[in-house]
Amino acid sequence: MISPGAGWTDLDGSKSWLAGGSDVAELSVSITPRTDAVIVAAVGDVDISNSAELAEAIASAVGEDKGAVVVDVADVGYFDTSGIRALVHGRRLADSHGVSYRVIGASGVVLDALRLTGVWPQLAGGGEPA
Amino acid sequence: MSRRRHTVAGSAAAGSAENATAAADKLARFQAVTDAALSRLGVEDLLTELLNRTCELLSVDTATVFLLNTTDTELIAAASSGAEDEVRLGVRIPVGSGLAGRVAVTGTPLTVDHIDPSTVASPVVLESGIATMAGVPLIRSGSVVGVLQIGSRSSRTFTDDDVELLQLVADRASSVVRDRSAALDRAAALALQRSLLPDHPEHVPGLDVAVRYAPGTEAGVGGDWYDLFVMPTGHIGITIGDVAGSGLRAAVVMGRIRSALRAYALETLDPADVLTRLDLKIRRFEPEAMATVLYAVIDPDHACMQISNAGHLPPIVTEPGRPNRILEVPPDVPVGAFIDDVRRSSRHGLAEGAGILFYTDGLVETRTEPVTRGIEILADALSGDTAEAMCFSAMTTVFGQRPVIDDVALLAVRRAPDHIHRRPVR
Repeated sequence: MISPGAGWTDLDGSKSWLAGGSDVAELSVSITPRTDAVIVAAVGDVDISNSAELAEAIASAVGEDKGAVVVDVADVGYFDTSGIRALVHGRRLADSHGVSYRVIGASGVVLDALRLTGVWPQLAGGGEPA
Repeated sequence: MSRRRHTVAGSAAAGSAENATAAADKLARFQAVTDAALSRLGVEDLLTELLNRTCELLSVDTATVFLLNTTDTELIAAASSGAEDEVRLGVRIPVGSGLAGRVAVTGTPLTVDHIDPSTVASPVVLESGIATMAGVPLIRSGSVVGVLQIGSRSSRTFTDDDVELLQLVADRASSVVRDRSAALDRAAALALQRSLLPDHPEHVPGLDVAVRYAPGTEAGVGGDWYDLFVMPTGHIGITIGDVAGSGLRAAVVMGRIRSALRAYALETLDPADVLTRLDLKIRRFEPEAMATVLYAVIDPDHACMQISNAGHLPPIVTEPGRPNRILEVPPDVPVGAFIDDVRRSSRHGLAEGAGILFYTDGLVETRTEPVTRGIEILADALSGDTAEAMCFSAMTTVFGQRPVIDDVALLAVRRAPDHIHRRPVR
């Protein structure tokens, strides 16, 4: 029962950096295996308090070795740098497993954040506004 | 409280009905002590006092708290009553060895009534004449973080009630340790941040420079930083960056990234080259870290600057007699993103009297509006004839209405009008 060593969560600590509020961000992440891909769908706000959940879901989807992982962020309302790190880390993991990786459904605040950090073209995988 | 109990060697006595009343009495005494007298002590003293009380209550000679190291491979003596040598000599017990090491692995209480190198790993204990020992885990969020171990010189058997009481002390010690490490982390992160982010960066004749750093009210100190340094060629390097994450860990990684960038800056004047080398370094040595960084190199005559942008927010430029503008510095991927992509540098003129504001996302990010909207609002409102006034304007524009939630770093630089800084050559 010894805790795992330093990792993503250690960088984060446990806090929420809500702009103007004190509620903890609500996030639910679902994993749906299809025949040729695993869909990871996030619903809610992603920030430093819960980005590890998204990262873990993506990691487990990659682990199913279906050849492709699609992360759907259409129902994500807010995304901070820790969320971006989770998506980018997912891509790195997928690359190392030889699994194709794509983020879909980004719009508004989320798309804005992904574009400003220069990662959007690398995550969109074509077929999305660049 | 029901925890499984194992014995390492020998037997463990069972608790009995008549002991129950005595145990309840002990618990009551223990509660009274922890709730009243101890609440006024600082965390360091609290831990030691807790162990002193434990020795008294259980009539044992030693009580020691061991904490797991960061790699979960060794237990290190952190505080003791009766076996202070273990702390002073920095006794380390490999996880899995001896009583404490086995408690750390199993996460369950253990007792031992036969002391030799096979049952006890601490050399201090082996030479101290201790005859019987018991250990219970310190547990936080479901994981073992340490071990509380007691020892008695007289031959005795620890009852279930003794172990139960000991576990109660361990739970209390666990929360004390948590508070202590949180306080230490905060203090260390703040000290690190202060030493790396000087209030007044290196003075450069002809450039007016001002900075701000504000820890977030919710996040505390994080991984934001600014930097300004002059190179032997007379070029001026300016960095603004943000390591994802918060607290001591992010601050430590920030310090390493900042130093590495300075080192690469001395090797090449091309900002894209510097960030490419930095990215390689982070991938190799900080594989869990990711940071957005904007690095600018101002020419020795201050008329031009070259910028490379690793996923950071664009600076805002102010020029006398012209509307403010958001500098176009197309973002490449953050460093540590593990994405192979060519990094770009772009060249920008810097007019006399022009100012540039570099900042981190805490200044423009809100939960409901796109970041680009926050940048536009800031660009519209930014004013000031000096770098200091620019920082003041930026802070009041954003934080006049709301608290600093995420930490914020700002660096404003203004090119002085030519007649001010050009001095006759002697």
